Amino acid sequence: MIHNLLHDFPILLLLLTLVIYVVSLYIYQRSNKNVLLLPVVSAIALVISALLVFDIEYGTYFESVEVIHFLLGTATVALAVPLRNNFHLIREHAFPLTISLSVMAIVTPVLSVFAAWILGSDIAVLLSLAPKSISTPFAIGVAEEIGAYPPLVAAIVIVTGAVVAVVSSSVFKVFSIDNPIAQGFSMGLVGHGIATATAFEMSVKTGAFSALAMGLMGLSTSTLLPYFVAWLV
Amino acid sequence: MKSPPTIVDTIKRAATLIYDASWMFDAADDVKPTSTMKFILYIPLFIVFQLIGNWLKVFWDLPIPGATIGMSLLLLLLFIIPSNKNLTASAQKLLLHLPLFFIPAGVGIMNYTDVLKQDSLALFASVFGATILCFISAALFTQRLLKSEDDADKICESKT
Repeated sequence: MIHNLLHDFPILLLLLTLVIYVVSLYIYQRSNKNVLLLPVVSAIALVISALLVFDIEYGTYFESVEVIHFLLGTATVALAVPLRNNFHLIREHAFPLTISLSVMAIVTPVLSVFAAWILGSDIAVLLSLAPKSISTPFAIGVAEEIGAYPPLVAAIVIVTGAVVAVVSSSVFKVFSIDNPIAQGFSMGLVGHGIATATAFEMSVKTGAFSALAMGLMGLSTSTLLPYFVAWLV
Repeated sequence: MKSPPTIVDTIKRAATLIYDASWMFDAADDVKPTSTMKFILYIPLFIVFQLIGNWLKVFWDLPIPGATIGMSLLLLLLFIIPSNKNLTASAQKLLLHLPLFFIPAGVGIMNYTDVLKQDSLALFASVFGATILCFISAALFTQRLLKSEDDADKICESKT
């Protein structure tokens, strides 16, 4: 019965997604912000289970919630605002931060792809790993351009951010990184939005530099990576 | 006796609201973003830039995502116009719900379970190993660069 209803009224799938999102936000709040229960992760898991239970194909689902996917692009555009607001931070340390950004924008995708390449992954998986350190909205856009698997990219990017968020404080201790600018900037460069949220919990300065790095990394990688892939393949 | 608002009144009020929240209105910097209406009105601005980006991408046949082009154009605009609290609040409201916008793309992972199984080792090595390695090198490299800049500044100061 429910299966037929969801098929006849695809708008119900949109409603279902919104309800699941609110529920996962609630679970995340109640679990004292446990990284394993990030709203993205639990919401995606719940939607997948619902689709499997009601036997609905992904294509049908995507068509009904395409308006939410459209808003992902809108949110990407909105990222210009925090980038503009944090831009003054780069002026004080323009030289080291620019060098760090340009080097890491090359090293991160190369190293990520290389690790999977020696273990013998095929080209589409390698391409899905290349944008793993940029914010998810950029990464999904890039994936669509370079012929990677967008859902795989989304999963990889989210896990990458969570890894950086979890290991950051121990890495800073072991390698004695005590400069908040270096801490924030590196977290944003490699761990995008999810690590930025953790950086804001360390201090406002760390968070601001992380947000700056995340914006710059997203902008530069999503502009240059498609050209690089087109030139390479 | 109070007459019900006419269509003209409604349009006038809507126009006032749009003008009130528009980026052209400098004094908006001093206005507290109290009304929800005000920051909802900026979302069309983001959508317009998104559409311009998508259109330019098709027009020039660029490989860059349309949203990135739209974002760069908005960034350029934001360097020209004065900063605005309502615009910032609007972007914050939208970005707060970023996880919701990932759901349609993320759910597609259900069709890639065989890739996940087949390449689990490579994915693990890249997502865990390479990420941690990159993170450590980024942190060390940035700290070293910042330190050498500080040292250079000190040398300059001591000379003058």
